[in-house]
Amino acid sequence: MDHQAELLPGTLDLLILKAVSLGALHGYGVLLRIGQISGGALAIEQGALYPALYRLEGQGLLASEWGTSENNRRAKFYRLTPAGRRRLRAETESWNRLVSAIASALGATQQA
Amino acid sequence: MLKRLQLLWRALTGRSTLERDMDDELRFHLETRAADLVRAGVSAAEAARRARIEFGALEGYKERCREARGLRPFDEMRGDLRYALRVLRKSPVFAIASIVTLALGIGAGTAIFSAVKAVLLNQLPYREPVRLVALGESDAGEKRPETVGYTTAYDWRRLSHSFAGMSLYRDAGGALVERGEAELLTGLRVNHDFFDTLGIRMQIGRSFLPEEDRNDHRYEVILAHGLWLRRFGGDPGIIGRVIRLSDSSFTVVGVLPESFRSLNIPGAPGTHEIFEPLGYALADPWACRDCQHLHLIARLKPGVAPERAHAELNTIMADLVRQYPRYYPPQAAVAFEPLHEYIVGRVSTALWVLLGAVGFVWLIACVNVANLLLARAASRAKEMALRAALGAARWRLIRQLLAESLLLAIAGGVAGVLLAWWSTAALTSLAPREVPRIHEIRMDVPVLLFALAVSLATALLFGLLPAWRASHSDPAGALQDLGKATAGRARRGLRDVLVMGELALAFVLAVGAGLLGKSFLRLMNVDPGFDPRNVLTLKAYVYGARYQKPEAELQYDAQAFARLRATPGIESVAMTSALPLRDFDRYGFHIRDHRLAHDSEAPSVDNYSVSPDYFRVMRIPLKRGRQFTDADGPAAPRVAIIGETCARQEFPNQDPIGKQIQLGGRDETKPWITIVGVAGDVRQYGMDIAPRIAAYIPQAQNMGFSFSLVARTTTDPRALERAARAAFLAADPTLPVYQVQPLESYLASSLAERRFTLALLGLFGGLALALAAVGIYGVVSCAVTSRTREMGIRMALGAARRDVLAMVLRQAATLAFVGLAAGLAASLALTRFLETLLFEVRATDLATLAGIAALLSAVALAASYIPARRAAGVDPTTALRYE
Repeated sequence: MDHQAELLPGTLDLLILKAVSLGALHGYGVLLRIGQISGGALAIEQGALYPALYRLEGQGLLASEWGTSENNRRAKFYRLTPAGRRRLRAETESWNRLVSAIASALGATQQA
Repeated sequence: MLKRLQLLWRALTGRSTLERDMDDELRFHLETRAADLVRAGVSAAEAARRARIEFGALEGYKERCREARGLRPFDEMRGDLRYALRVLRKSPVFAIASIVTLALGIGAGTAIFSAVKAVLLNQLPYREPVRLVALGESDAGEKRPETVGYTTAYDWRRLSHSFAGMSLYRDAGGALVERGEAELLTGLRVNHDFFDTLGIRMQIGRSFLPEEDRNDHRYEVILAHGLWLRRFGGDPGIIGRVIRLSDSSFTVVGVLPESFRSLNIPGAPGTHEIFEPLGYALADPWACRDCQHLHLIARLKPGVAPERAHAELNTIMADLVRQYPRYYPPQAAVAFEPLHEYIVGRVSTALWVLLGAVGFVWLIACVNVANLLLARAASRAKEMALRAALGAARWRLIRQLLAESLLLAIAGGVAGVLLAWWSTAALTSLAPREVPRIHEIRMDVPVLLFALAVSLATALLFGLLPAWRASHSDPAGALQDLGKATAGRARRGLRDVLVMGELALAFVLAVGAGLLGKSFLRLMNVDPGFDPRNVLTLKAYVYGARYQKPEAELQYDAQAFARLRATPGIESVAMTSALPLRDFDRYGFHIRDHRLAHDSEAPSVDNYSVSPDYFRVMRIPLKRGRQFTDADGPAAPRVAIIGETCARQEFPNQDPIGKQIQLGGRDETKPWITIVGVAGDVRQYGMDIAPRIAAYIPQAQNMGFSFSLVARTTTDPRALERAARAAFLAADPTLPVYQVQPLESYLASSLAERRFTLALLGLFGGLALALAAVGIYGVVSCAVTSRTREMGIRMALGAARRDVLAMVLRQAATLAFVGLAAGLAASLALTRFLETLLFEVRATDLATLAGIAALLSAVALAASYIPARRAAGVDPTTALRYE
């Protein structure tokens, strides 16, 4: 647990959008998918997922419908809306810009 | 957007579906997680536990989910209210007790507010009413405008620059004989610009023209809307028609709109239905500077401050006093009052006092309900602690409790408005007619908004403290404490403080009611100077050429008297120019051998022109000298009887009998009047106003008045009204007979306002007392319940029932004592606002304070005696097992 990184504020939304972009998921599935794609390096308190899902749905970035889970139970599945897909692209780009800017800034300090 | 609306709709209508979905979703998460853990080899029970721990605070996340949906306010309000409804439904006794208490507080407040609004706050129905003022001459520092002389007002108007208009008016009457029984119409004689000054436009026709307001020309009339409908069928062709009033012909030039409200003249009751031009000229003898009998209103020019206008008039008046010292007393000034105050000023103190009183009742109601809530909070501590432990935010708990308060307050408010609706109707019908604008009381939108605001304030006031209290209990402590069912000391302390406050409020109210009550009793015991029981009064309106000679009117009276004396039940009859408590007529009082520097310094005397039997009929005692007889006729030497106060003040250490006086102006060429007797004093203006100096002259020696009949009856005077009316109509059917009523009804209406204020304040005081009793009962009874086990132990250890009883009563006595002490301090500070309503009772009347304190102590002890007895009756073995 102690080598898991805390999430930066605002990044949970990005991760959720990314996780869901690969296929419709229920809430628990989103959690597993994030764990899987981040290689288990990010710590998310499980309950915190749901307010984020609700908020993204409220913003029209996610859509939800009730379906049947892999273990044959009624579960709520989230998928990306076109607006969500656009948002994911935009957020990814600005995230990458931010990261490279910070990285080069940190790199410049070391060279000096 | 559509999606959001859909969600909103679902949140509002189907909250439970969304809630269930959320619960399902989260349960799915927890169970799937647990299943995964089981597959990894964890035991089922441990897996469920781990799943919950990993998830975090479930309730907290649920909250944040609801919030995240963005519909939280609606959502939660619905939830809170729904939950509150369920909680209240489960304890109907509590709910009903609270709602009834609140309904009483809010209802009484709303009803009184509607009266305050109609009478005091609503604007007068004139154009820009804030610029209207009433003016009068102030001869001896009177603040309230009364009357003014024509020439004085003429100079004011001529010399001042502050006013856009200034109009005189006085009473007017006329007998309408056409069609049916002769009817006396009352109204005003007004300057031609009177309606312009008020800013009133005629419904049909026009107002008066300047040339119609002259002493040689007074032939036009304006009709009130009611009269136009009643006597002329609302005929739109009425303009230009000639109607006969008394003996003269008048042309109708205008009809007033229905909304018009006339200006009442103090002491001249009746609705105003006819308006005639004033028709005065400077040369008229009744236009003289000291002929003060006209009323004056004025409209300030825009931008002129009332103070400046008043100062200007005072300067003008000071110049007039210097120029004409014969006519004005040296200290003469101008009385100046905004028209609104002039009209309602008399009752405003009483109404504000009543509004303050209902405010107290409302506070007490709030305190009582807050107390009930605090008592419930003890039993709900577990629920609150559990919810807090499950992660519900503190403010969320406060809101939940406030939702309950809100629901109670709204229910109480609705019931209160219904109560107010009913009671304003009762208020309007029971209120004395003397209260100005009383019939304008309405339950209108502002009043309903007031009720709503009061309800919301109520919810906050009685709900916030208990809610804050309840939500601040430490969850762990509360959960551990559950076994004890005894309220903490702090919580009890709060309830004690509330009850003390309640007692203090009730004390202040009861003292107010007590002081008014005592004043009223004092007033009832005042000797009016005459015996008002079994006296019938009426007025006949004598007019026309036939009655130009005084003998004709005396003849008319004599004919009516002959019939009246023959009527069984009538003992004796007399006429008077001024009925006590209704009319007054004041003249300068001049003594022949006591010449003053200026005649204007002569004192004013209440003047009565009476027939010989007057003193016998009224049972006014003759203190010295003789009564009038039939021999004191027009040709006989002129005589007068004066009142006791007059004798004492004007003839100190002298015998007034045989002294000579004149009434009105001093005129050496006119005959002097010889005093032949001294009569007892009469309270002419009201039981609460000391008698002034008075003088009586025989009717036969001065007929220049309108007279009232006074008839002493052996039975209820009301039974003889018809016979008395018939006796006068038989003497002349064209003379209207009016104001046929017992003399006692004047006494009653002179006391009506006080009676009304007293009745309401008494009602509120009683209500406050009852609520306070319930409050103290609740607190003591709750304390007893929570100490049942303690009582059991004490009794098991040998305490007698008496000791337990004393212990409980001691607690109640402490509450009562502190409450009453606080109440005493508050009433000493507050009762001075009552001072103008009191009569011969000081605002700090010791007997009243002591009496009320005793009463409240008795009520408090009685209310705690019941639970105390219950405590003392406890069987120790039961009590020890009690929980």
